[in-house]
Amino acid sequence: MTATEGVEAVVGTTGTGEPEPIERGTTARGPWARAWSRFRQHRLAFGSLIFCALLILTAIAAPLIAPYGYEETDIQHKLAGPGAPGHLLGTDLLGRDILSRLIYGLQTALTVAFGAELTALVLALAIGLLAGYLGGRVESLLMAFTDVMYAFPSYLFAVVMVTVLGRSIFALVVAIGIASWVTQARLVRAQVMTLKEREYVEAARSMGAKGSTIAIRYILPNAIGPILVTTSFAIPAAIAAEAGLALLGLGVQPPTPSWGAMISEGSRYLLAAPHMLVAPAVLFALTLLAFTWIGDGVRDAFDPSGEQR
Amino acid sequence: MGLAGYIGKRAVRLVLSLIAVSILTFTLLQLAPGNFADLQRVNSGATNFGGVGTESMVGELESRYGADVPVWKQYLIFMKGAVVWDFGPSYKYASRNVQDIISEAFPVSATLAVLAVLLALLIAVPVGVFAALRQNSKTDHTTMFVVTLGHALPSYLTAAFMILLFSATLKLLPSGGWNGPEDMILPVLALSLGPAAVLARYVRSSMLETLREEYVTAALAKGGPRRTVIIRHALRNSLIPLVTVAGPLLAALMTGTVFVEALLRIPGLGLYFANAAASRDMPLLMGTALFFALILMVTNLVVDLIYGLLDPRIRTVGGGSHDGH
Amino acid sequence: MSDEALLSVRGLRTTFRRDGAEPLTAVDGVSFDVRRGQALAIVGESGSGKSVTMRSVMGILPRTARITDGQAMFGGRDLLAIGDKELRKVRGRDIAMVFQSAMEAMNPTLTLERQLTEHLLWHGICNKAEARKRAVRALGDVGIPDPEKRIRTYPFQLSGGMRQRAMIAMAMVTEPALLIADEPTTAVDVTVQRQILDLLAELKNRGTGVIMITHDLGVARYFCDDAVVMYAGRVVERAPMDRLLDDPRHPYSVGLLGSGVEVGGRELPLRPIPGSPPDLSHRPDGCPFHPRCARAELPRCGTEQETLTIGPGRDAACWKVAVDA
Repeated sequence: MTATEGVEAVVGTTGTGEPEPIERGTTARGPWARAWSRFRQHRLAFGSLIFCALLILTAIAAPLIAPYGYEETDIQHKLAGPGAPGHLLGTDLLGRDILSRLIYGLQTALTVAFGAELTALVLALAIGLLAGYLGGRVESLLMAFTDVMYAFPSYLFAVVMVTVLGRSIFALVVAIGIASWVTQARLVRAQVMTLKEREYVEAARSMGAKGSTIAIRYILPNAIGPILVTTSFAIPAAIAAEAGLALLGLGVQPPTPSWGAMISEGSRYLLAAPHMLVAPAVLFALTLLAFTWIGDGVRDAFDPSGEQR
Repeated sequence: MGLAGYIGKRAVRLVLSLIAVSILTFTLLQLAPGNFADLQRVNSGATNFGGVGTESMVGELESRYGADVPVWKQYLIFMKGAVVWDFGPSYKYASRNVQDIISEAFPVSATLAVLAVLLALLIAVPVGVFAALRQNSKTDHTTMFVVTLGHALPSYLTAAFMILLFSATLKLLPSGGWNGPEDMILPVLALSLGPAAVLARYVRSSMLETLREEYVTAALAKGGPRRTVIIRHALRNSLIPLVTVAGPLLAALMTGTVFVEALLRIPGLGLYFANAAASRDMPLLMGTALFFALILMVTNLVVDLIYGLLDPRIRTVGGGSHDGH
Repeated sequence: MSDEALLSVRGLRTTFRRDGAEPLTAVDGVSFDVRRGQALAIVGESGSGKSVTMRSVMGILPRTARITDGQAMFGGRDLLAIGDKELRKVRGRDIAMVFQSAMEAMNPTLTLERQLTEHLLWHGICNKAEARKRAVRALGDVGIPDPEKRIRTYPFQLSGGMRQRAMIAMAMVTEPALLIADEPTTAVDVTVQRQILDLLAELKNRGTGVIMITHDLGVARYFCDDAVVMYAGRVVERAPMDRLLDDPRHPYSVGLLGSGVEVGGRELPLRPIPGSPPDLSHRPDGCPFHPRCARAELPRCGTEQETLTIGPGRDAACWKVAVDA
C-alpha cells in the first residue's frame, strides 16, 4: 500500500467497477446491447450517426437527388454564385452545378473510404490472426513485415500504389486500404495475444478444438470491440486520404468529382469565386467531424472507463 | 553495451529497413507495365507535360539503366547511385538531377515542419496544462472539444479555411506561393493545428498522471508554492515523454507537408514528390520516397537519443548505479 | 519543556466528493495530541483514514477531498483555518513529512541537492550556498557516507536504504518541530527498517515531535510513546503505547494485536480478524467494527458509541470497556 492508502481506498470504491464489456464469447448479446445503449447516450455520436446515415443514403441515391449530372455544363451560368437560378450552391468554371458535384463527390469519397477500410480490415484480420495465433516464425516474419510498413509513411505508400495502379476508384481503394492496414494488423495481433491466454480459449483447446476453430469462433468475436473502434476512426482518415490524393492530382480521373479536387480547384479561383471553395470545404469538414464523433462514441461505448485519448 | 553500441545497432536496423523500403518501392514501380524508358516514351506521347523527356533524354536513360537489363540489375544500379547521393536526372525536370531537386526543395518542407512543430508545442503545452489543472471542469471539456476539432481536420482543409478567412475575406495574407516570409504564416499555422491537438491531449494526460505522483505531493508538503511545484516537479517530468510524441510528429510533418504544399503552391519536396507521381517521373519518385523514409527513420532515432539525454534515469543506465535493493 | 501539545487535533472530519453520490467520509471526528519530543503512533489498517488525517492537517489532500469540520492547533493557530497561503509557510518548515517510499516521493529527475535545498529557499531560511551546506550536513546526519559527493546524484542512484534516509534528511533539513512519518518502513527491508526507526528515535530524543502512521504495531512500539488506533475513519482507542500492548481494550485493538504482531519479544498467535474493513460508502451504523466484532451485541453496538475514559491518557469508543472495567 502506498502512503495514500486512505485516499485510494476511498477512490477505489467510487470507481465504476464495470466489468470488461466482452467476456463470454459469441453467445453474449449483453455486451453489445450495453455498448449500444452507451453509444446512444453519447448525444454527439448519435447525432453524427444519423447525419452519416443520411450522407450514405444521399451517396447511394445520388442520381435521384442531384439536380444535375456531374458532367452537365450550363454554359450560360459559368462561375455563378450561390443562389443563382437553378444552382443552389452556384456553378464552377465550366458551369457545372456545385451541389451536384458535391453529391457525386460524396459518392466517390464514401465508396473509396468504405472499400479501403474493408480491404484494410480483411488484410489486418488475416495477418493479425495468423501472426497472433500461430506465433513462432510465421509471427516474426509477418511482424517484421508490418514493422517495415510502419516505418514507411502510409501516404507515400498510397501515392506509389496509385502510380502503379492508375487513377480509378479501384486503385484508390487498394492504395488506401493497403496503406492503412498496418495499425489494424498490430492491434489484432495484440488482441489475439491477450485473448488466447484467456481461460475459455484454453478450455476450448483442452476439449480438442482445432486452431482455426478457436481463432474464428472464440478469438475473433472477442477482438471485435477494439477493432471496431479503430475501424471507425479509420473511416474519416480514409475519406481524408482520398481527398488528399485528389488534391495532389492522384485522385479519380476527372471529370468524376472528388472533394479534394474541388478544394484544390476552389483554392485556385479563391478571389474570383470563393463559393467554389466554401461549399466543399464545409461539407468535407462536417463529414469528417461526424465520422470522428461516431468513432468517439464507439470508443466510449466499448471502453467506458477510458480517459479521452 | 555502451551508447556507441546502441547507436550502431539502431543504425544497422535503419539501413536494413531502408533497403526493405527501397526494394518494396522499386518492385511496386516495376509492376507498372514496361521499364523506365518504355514508360517514359509512352507517357510523353500520351500526356503533355512541359519538359517531358525528349528522345535524346530517353537515350541517356537507356544508357544509364539499359533497355533490356534485368530488374534486379536495374535496382542495383539505382542503389549504387543512391549510396553516393546520385539518383540521376529527373524525367519531368529534365535538366536537373534528382539529388539537386531534393537538396533544394527539402529545406523548404523542413522549415515548414520545424516551425509548425514549434508552434504546436507553444500552443499545446499551456493548453494541456491548463486543461489538466482544471480536470473535468467545463473549461477542461470545452478545451478538449476544440482540440478534437483540430485533430479531426487534415492540415490542407484547415489551410483551405484559413485562405478563405485570411486571404479571401480579410485580405491580410497571400493565398499561396513562396516569395517572402509572409507566405509561411498560413502553411505553418495550418500544419501546426493537428500536431498541437495531439500534443495538447498528451500534455494533459501526462500532466494528470504526474500530478498524481507522490513526489508532487511531497514537494507540496515541503511548502512549495503551487506554481513552482507544478512547473518544476510536475510539468518538467510530464514534458520529458513529450519528446517521444513531438519527435515522430516532426518526422511525419517533414514528409507530410505535401498536401499543404500542393494547396498553397509551395515548392517543397512534397510538391515534387506528388508531381513525380502524377507524371510518373520514376527516378524522382524513387529518390524522394527513399529520402522521405530515411528522414523519418533518422528523426525517430534522434528522438530516442534525445529522450535518453533528457531523462537521467535512462541517461545513467549502466553508469555504475548503487542500487542494491 | 512544556506539557502543552505541539499539535492538537480536534474533531477532524474529511470527506471525498464523488460523481453522482453522497460524499464519502474518510475521516470522522478524529482527535489526538502530540507533544514536543514525544512520538505518537497512529495505527490502523489500509483505508482506516490515518493517512488522510495527516494529509488533512498538512493541507495536501487531493482535489476531491474537503475538510468539513475540526481544528488542528499548532503554535497557537488553527492550521485548518489559516488558509493555504499561511499553511504553506508552516508546511515543510515547521511540520515536515516523510513518505512510505523515497522512490516515489523524491523526484527522479532532480538531484538530491535540488530537492534538499529548494524548500530552504522557498521558506527564505537561508541563501543558496548556506542551503547546500545544510543539505550536506543533513545527509551526513542521517548516516549517508560521503555526502558532498552524494548530493550531486539522483535518488535512483542510491540504494533503497540510503534513499529512504535521504528522504528523512530532506524532511529534517529545515529542522521542523514536528515530523510526520507515513509508513516510513513499509517499503524497505528489515535491516533498513531498523536503521530508519533508530534515526526517527534519535530525532525524537533531540526534541522533535514525531507522528508515525503505521499499520504495524511492531514498528509503532519501537519508539512511540502513545498510540491512536483508527478504524474506518474513526479513533477507536487511544492509549500509552505500553498500556495498549499489554492490555488492549477495544475489541478491534485486541484483534489487531492478535493478527500476528510481535509484542515484547514473544510472537502472538496469528489470529487474523475475520472479515474485512468496511467499504466507506456502506459504513455500518453505530460502531463501524461491530459486523466483524466477536463480542458485538445488537442493538447496542449498532448505535453511536461514546468515547469512554478508561484510565490516564486512555479512552476507547466501545461500551464494553465500561463493562469490562
